[in-house]
Amino acid sequence: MVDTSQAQLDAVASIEHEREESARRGARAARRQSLLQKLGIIIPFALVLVAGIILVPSFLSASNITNMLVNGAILAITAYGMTMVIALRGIDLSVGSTQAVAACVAAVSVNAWGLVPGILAGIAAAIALGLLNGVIVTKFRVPAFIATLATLGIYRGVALLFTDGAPVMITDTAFRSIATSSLFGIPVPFVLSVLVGAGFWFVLEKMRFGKHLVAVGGSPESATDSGINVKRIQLIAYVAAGATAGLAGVLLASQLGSVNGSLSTGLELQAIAVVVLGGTSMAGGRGNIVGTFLASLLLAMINAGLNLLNVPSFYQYIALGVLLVFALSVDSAQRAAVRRVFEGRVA
Amino acid sequence: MTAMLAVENIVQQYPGVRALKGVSLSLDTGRVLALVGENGAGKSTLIRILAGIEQPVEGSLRLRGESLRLTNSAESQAAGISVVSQEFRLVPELSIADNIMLGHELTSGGVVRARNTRNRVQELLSTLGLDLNPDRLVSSLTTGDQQMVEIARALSRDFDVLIMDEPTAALNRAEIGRLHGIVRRLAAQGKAIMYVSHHLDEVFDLCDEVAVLRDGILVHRSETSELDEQALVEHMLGRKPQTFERAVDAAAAGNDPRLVVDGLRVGGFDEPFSLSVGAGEIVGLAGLVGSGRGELTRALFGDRAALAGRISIDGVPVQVRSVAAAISAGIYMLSEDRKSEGILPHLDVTENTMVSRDPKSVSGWRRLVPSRRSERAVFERLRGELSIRVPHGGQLIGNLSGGNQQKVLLGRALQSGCRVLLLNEPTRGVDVGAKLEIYQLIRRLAAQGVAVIVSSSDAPELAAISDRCLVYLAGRQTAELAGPDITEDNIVGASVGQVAVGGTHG
Amino acid sequence: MTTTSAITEPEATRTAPTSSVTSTILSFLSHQYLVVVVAVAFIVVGLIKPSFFGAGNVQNILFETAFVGIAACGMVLLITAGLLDLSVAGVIAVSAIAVGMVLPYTNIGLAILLAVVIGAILGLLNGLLVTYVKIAPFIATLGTLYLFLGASFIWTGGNVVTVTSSNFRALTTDSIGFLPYPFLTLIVLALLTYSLLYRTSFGRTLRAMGSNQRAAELAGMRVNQSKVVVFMVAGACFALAGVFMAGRLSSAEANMATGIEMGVIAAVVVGGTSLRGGRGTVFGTVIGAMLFAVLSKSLNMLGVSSYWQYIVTGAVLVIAVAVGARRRSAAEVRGAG
Repeated sequence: MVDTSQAQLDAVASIEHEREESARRGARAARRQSLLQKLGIIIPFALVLVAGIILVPSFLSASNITNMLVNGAILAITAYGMTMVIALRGIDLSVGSTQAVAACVAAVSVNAWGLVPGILAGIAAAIALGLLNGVIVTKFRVPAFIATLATLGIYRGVALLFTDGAPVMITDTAFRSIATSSLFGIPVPFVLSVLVGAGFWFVLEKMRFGKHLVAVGGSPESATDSGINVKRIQLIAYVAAGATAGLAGVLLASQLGSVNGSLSTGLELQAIAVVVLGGTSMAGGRGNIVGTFLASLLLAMINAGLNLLNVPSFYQYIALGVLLVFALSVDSAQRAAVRRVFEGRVA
Repeated sequence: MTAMLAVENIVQQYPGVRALKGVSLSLDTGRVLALVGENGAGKSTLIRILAGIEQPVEGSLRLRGESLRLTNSAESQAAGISVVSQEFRLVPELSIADNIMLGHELTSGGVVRARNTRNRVQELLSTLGLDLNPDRLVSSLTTGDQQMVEIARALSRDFDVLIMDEPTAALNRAEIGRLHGIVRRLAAQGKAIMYVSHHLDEVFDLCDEVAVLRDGILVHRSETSELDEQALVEHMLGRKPQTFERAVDAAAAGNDPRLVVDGLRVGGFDEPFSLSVGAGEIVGLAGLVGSGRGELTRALFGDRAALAGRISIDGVPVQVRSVAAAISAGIYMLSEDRKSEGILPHLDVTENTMVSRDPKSVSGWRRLVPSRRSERAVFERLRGELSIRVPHGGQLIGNLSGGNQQKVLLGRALQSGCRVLLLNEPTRGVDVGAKLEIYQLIRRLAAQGVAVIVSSSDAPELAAISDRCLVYLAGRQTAELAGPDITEDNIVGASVGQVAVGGTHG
Repeated sequence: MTTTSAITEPEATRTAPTSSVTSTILSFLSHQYLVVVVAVAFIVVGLIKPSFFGAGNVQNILFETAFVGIAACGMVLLITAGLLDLSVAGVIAVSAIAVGMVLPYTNIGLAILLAVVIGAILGLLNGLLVTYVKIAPFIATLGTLYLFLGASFIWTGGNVVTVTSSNFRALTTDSIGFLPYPFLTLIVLALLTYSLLYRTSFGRTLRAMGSNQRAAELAGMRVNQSKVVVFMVAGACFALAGVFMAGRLSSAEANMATGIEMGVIAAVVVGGTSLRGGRGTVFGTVIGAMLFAVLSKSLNMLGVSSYWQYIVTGAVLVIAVAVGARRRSAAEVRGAG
């Protein structure tokens, strides 16, 4: 028999050592992740900005800047709701169609009833559609991507039926001036996107709802065990996604002055791209509103730059596809990096 | 005196297993009740019922004499039951403070009161003797600290009943001492506490009463002072320790080594693993959570990266960079988690046994287009050999009992033509009868020359089947038991680092 | 009936190995209630609009069934393996445009082969993104959908490519009796798909990884390679659908199949394949494709706005999945998910 106490002491010491080691590994993993997350948006942002300034004529002209800010703002507002849904491990593919319905309803209502009722009707319609998405996902337990793929089609049909496939001109000049007017030289949609973004940031970071949302997205079992009503959180997120798509749709209608049922086709891709590029993981967890905002501006810069260079619009599809793949690769590289650090494969 | 919380005639059933067979138990104010029993005795099931996560098939709950129905965990918490669960229920993306207060945040108008929360959490952490910043993300914590956060979380709620399921598995000695102090103080304040532990010294050190579950039945309850460790173990086992029939194959240990592992480094563990297993030998791996035995088997099977080291089979060095490489080198592993890593629920039992079939056993184009007739014949043979109880080979595997599923998976391992078989918790969720059959099967496999490694948290199981048993603590081998030294007591002792047995017996 | 019973699910045939013919038929009907739904819809619409039974219209339905069904044969393999591909419309456009572009310079066989190879290559791209870049299938293929559509627009400059070869049109639109070649192709393809899924090791791997991917990996099955290959096979199926569509339309353009992915997925899901994977019903898929063809032609015949088709297809998809979720939650397959 060998003396036992030494082995025991050694074992305890090695547990202690293991704990310190794992604390260091954890901290390192967290650092790496946040670095990758920040680089994922800041580097492309800086690159595109510099490239735009150098390569694109009149990139910094007042009209182009306004244009980029307005387009970026409208996209950002849509993407805030999407950020919430993706943070919950969900997805809303129907945002483009929802936006089209909201824009068409707003246009027709503004023409019929005037400014404020029109805006409210547009947003209310979008909220109703978001609610329907939420009900299909939570009550009928249809996977989010398939539920919203189906409603993408359904809502598009609704928008086309509602307008009978024809464009709707908006006659109300006050409504049309919302998107083009500015506040202290800053376009109103941009101001709105900052305000709405700040609201979402506050809800996600400072409010109970935000904590519960992270819990549901990060670890649904833990959330359920903590007594959180998971379905309620999910339902609210889908309603929020509908509402922001609607608000953005109203702004879009105001910007365009004329809407039709095929407005915002393919928007879901842009929204998902900016959310993921902004650092919100498809695997759920924490939503990054600031990142979403920056990524929206980035995408607006790319689109404006390509327009100014007279690149055919088809290429913008390609650019978007490449951007999306880039963002998703960063997302999955990030997760792989963390996993590697935890398995101790990285020194 | 009415009990604070009482369960009456609780019955719980899972497919193929009756986990609780009518258990009645009460918790009194100001008392610490130890709940002990072997793995699979039904402790976790009982806790899940009290936590509101599962609903019993039969039976009722009473809180302060009043009938209580729990349909989810929110109701259980509202009733004043707080649970420290064995598997952590933490959200890695949230901070320590947010995790502790999750579900009962301090808010005004929906806005979290950050300063109050931080103070409250800081206070809780310091009573637990934890020096951690409440704003740190839980994902950056060590397992031990996560365990403490999990405990802090249970303590942060308003509760009358505290249930702790193995709260000390990942804690060090000083932390355990502090935790015991807190538990005693809570009892003194009039809380009713249920304390589940594998460590018998904890039971005698801390608990007023002890209740023993065995195979879903409450077999004993008394004051702790009326028992000694020996008697308690007898109650847990239902017999005197060390009476199990063992047929140690002494000759097997002398065989040529079939599997030799030399200096295998696995991420997360400082010391490399080295061991060798002879043809026909059954080597048990024992150890608590964090001992590394699970990680070791996965590294041998190519499911987890090995950082360094050599593995050879029959003297030939092999590289196991992937599961497929391990299988073609002749290594096969069955996971401890049959449901999520073993069975293919949509496939019938025949296909389930054929998925790893050694390609060398089938010729040419039949590898691409398997012959149904030959597969059926092979399965019929296996069904007889392994005594798998299914009406026909077209049965879906999900409908079988745990034991029969495990036999099908053993059949799968046989079909892979493996020379080294790694088994993780081979009888978890398997009822007693099937357990013995599975032990016999493992023996027969070994007798055919397969080198078998059984990694198990079930000490009696290892005592029953292994020819040699290696015990690990935090990645370090603390004992190598052989022959008559392989007893439940020695295994349990060595896995907590309390009894040391150096090398061979003598 | 012989063909149909050959491609029903194994358990359907297995449950009643000894029973009589009538009970076989009854059990068949209870499993394939969808056949009844299609038949009833067909007859009811026909009674309202007798021209619905016209040979031309029936052929139209069969053409429509074939386009969606051929693509759905690829999709059912993917969904069984727990995967998904939303880039169907993009693959169809690229491969159809390829056929239109090369037909003047080569023979029909080579043109079709080229289209199918292009489909497989686009599928390869999807497979690599999903398997090795580890992007969720629906999002990766949503991205490549727009990528392929963008490529089609660039390739054609946004114009329509006309297919002038009358031989090609004949090959893709002629019939034997009243059965058009595309529909016959669908029948053959469905039989092949069924055999692939239930008779080969590859199919077993697909079902295993759809059932429980971790378990399939730990059983040593080549999950990654199989994922890439199944995306390629599916891409080839989509391309074949594109070839027939180009023949039927006598043209190809980037927008020719926009939105078809929903109909294809709906056909698979309505046919009884669970989105969770593990099991695919090829026969149900063909019937599902037929259901949508009947619905769409009915709406046309009844003079309903074509926009309603979006709504009907989407609604049927949601209802099918919701009903499936409800049915399967009654523990049809224990231990799944």
